[in-house]
Amino acid sequence: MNDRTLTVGLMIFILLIVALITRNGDIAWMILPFLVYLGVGILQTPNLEKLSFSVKRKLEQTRSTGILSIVVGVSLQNKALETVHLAIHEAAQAGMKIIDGELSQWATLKPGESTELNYSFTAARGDYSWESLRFMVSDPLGLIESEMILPANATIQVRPQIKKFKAISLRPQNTVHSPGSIPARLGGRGTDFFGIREYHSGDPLRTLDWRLTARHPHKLFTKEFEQEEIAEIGLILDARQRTDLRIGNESLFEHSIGATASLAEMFLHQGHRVSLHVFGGTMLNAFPGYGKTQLHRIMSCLSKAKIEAESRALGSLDFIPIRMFPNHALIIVISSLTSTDRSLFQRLRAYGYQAFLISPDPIDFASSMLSQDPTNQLAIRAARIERRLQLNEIAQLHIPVIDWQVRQPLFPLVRNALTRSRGQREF
Amino acid sequence: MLSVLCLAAGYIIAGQWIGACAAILMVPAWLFVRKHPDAWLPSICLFTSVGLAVVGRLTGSPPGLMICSSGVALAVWDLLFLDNTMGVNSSKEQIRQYENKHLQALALALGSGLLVTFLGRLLNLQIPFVVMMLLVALLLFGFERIWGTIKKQSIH
Repeated sequence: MNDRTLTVGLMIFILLIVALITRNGDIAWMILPFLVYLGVGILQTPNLEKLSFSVKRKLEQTRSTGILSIVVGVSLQNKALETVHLAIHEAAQAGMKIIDGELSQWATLKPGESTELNYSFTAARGDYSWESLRFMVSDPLGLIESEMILPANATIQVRPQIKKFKAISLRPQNTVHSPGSIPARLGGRGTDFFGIREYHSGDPLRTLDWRLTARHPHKLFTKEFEQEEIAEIGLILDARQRTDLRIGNESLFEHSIGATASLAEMFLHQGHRVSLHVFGGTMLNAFPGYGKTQLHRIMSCLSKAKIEAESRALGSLDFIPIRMFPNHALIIVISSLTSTDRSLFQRLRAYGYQAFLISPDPIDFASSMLSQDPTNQLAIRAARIERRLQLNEIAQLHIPVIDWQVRQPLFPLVRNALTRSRGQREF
Repeated sequence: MLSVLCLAAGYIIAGQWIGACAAILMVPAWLFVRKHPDAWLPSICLFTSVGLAVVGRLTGSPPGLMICSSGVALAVWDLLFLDNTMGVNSSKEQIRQYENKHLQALALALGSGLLVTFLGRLLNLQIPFVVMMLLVALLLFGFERIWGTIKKQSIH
């Protein structure tokens, strides 16, 4: 039953009352076309108990980066023995932008016939899922409509875009004892010469230093090479509402997400062991792992990460469970910071972690939107001084800090910071 | 247009020039509603058209024209809704099939409705008022039952 049925019913009722009041037979006859119209609708309404449909929802892919459009196809087949008239209405989910096709479809399906609804969309980062298909079955006049809901599951994950970074050669203080690309400052198997020691039984003969052995009779010497191992890297992404800044459709948090994704991809590509913790209203973890599978886990976490109002207890970075990261890992914190966040870095140093801060600059991000009047300029200057002081305080803990203006590419800043740190034997 | 033509002709035959002008004013009203078929505008136009037909009949206009006018107004109202629902989608084969079925059902309903009405008017039945009231009560009871069934189906 819909508005149209109500209108026709009301019209019949009013005409009936008028006919009775005026005792006019012609007005009573005027009711008849309306009655027949309503009657045809009622008589041709399908019996829901006899209806049977099969629904299939197809997605071209289950993962996307959001650049290319995603094609959705829904097919509905009439398995009943009678013809049905139906209207399919799909609802676009928040964050989707339909670029082709239609979300509605009307069809008259004879027994065995099927109809298809195809559309393509682009979407913002996130998880999108469909559980069912809603459609209306009605009589041909559309007077008596019944809603049907059938299961039609599908999910797609729109992941953050990765900007490919070139490999950066890290020199962390500690490495994981697994073959990799980082010189571990330990003698063993490798390619670079590390030193010479006395021969121990079991050393391969090809590593003997014959020249030194010739100079010292009755003694054997073995050449040692520097072991090359992998690094243990932990990424902490700050997803607290208080550190996000949204201007129009652009969000500072999305830049942080992109940076985290690119760093994770770079480190995993180099063979390092990487873990991720997203700290905010909803906490997400990707425990330490290697390779493509770990990249999928991290990307899955990043696609789910969103800014939510956090409870007061989770308002400070002090509550990050830093012990989830292995001992002596290199922890990279991606946060635009608040005034009370310094203590996290003190804790990281106290626990023996190496830390590195990438801080997207909210002042630079917002300043482009502000008018250039003297009051605003003064306020921006004051905020910059406060931020500079805060970053300096963190840098005094021997933590490299990148003050990232998000419109600049991140890679050169990271490369320079790591290269500088390498000179200080920090990494 | 046919609905308005019938109304205007009926009023002119009855010599009701004000009514004829009011009927002609329905042309821009329907055209406006065709461009903006939102919410209740088509229903308001339908009620106005049928209201004019009732007034016309009460002021002595030919009953055939008035009945025809209200029937055609119902068809226009239905087609406006169909047009609004389909929008720009009507190019696909299946949608065209849906439209054709709708038009067939509409033609069947209105054709048979108007035919039965005109045939019925030829029969000169004299029904006592009490019997008429009983018939109306029966009709309302029937409506209530149908309404209940429809509601149950919609929930199902």
